[in-house]
Amino acid sequence: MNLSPLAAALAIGIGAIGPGLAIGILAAKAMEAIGRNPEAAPVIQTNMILAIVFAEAIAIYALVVALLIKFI
Amino acid sequence: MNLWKLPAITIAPEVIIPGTWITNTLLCTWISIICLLVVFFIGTRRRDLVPAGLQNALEWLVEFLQNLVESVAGKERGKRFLPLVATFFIFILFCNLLDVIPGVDTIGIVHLDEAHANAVVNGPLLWGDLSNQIIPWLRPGTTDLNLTLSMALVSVVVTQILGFSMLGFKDQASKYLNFKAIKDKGGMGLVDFLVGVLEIISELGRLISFSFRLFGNIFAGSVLLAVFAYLLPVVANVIFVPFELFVAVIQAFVFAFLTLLFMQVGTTSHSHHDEGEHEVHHEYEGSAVASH
Amino acid sequence: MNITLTLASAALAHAEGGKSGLDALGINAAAFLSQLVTFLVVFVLLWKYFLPVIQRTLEKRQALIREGIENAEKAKRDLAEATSNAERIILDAKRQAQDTIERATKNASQVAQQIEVEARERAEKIGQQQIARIQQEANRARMELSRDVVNLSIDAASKVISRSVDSNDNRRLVEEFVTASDQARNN
Repeated sequence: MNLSPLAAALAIGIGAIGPGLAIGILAAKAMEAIGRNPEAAPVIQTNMILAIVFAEAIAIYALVVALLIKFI
Repeated sequence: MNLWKLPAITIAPEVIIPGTWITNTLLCTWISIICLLVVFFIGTRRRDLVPAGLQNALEWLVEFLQNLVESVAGKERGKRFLPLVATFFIFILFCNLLDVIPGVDTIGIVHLDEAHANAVVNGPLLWGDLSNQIIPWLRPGTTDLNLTLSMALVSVVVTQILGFSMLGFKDQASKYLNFKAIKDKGGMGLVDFLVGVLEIISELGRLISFSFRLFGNIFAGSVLLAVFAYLLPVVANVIFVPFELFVAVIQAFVFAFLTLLFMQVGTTSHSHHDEGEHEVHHEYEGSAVASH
Repeated sequence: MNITLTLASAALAHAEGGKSGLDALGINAAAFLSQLVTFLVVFVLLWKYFLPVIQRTLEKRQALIREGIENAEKAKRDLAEATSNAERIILDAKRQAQDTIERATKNASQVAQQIEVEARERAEKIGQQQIARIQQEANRARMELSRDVVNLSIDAASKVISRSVDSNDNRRLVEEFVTASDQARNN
């Protein structure tokens, strides 16, 4: 029985949970901050995107792993 | 027998002109470049004072990018960062937009695998079991890891070059190999040194995350379109084609914006930062004295 | 970050034998280099030709707009200045006109008064002259009358007494009588 598709699906599925939560929390906090201090919106947005990128990078590693499992 | 089969999903681009290294993604990249050059040539041919049509769109685009770069990096640095950032955005946008054009990913040469080696192929349209026995002539350039990786490499290397040229060799090198911290602080400096080593690793990680983010999004987009063309032809793509257009713009923007951010961060000196803080502190003290 | 390292090392390990991870992902030197060169060509084209062209156009337009705004502001300033000048001139003219009118009115009334006064004086003078002449006439008439009366009365008296009463004493007597009666009548 070939379990590698399942492994790939689990890799990206589980690997996306953490970054998903992280991006949600980040965006929520950033919105809150912008709501409290709308003048600082550009700075907050820039830093939010930067932080989201770091969180997202982890999901990308999961994607790479999933792709490697699927295609090797 | 199904009317259609799920299209074959392959990551690796296929060589479509035998005897050369020209793959379908490379061909599509060239086509998107031709589109880009044609658009820019027509858009810049007339330099009217009151822009209209394509000229207006291009000028809006360039002005938007200019404002973006200047809002992050300031006027002086913005001038140095703009060309690469603008190129990333425009080029990736053109590559991504080819994704939703009908025919890309679906027109190609028939390539029968072992199971269907004896099947008879008739007509320009493939039906049933044979419908996924195809190597497309065109695949969007950004669904090829070679292109995304090379762009990520350009982004990281140019960031490093700018770092070396704007901070000076010593400052930039000490970001990664921080011997000075060990000499100054001894044991505690080891932490700073390790942080520097981690910076090297994160540069490599940036290479991977840059290339796989763009590749993953656009490749997933084209797979999504293919899968929904199989599950619910015509109807589903009415929803998903606009969505893919949106993703195309967003991913182009993200790639360009991240390059800009890393350039800005990479050319900002740490020691400068400290000096700035000191100045602020002094000003604060001065005002406190004055108020007494 | 550890994942990155493992991935990189795994890829390197695979590259040495058989079908590697890089092959599976479609990464190979020829494709990579051709894509890199392609991208760099686009980069140089945009950097050296198209972006400067568009930026120049944008700058030119901005300069033009700035100039236009400055011109408009200058025109506005000039207009405001001219308007205030015109207002000032109109105000001056109005004041002058007012002055002139006032002066003229004053003069006119003075002249009118003078004329009136003169007219009244002349009328008075004429009236007085007339009265004086009438009195003169009246006096003369009265004197003549009294002389006539005296003559008549002397005549009458001489007739009555049949003798001439032309002596001076008598005449004086009668005249005194007439004068007295005249005075009594006047009073």
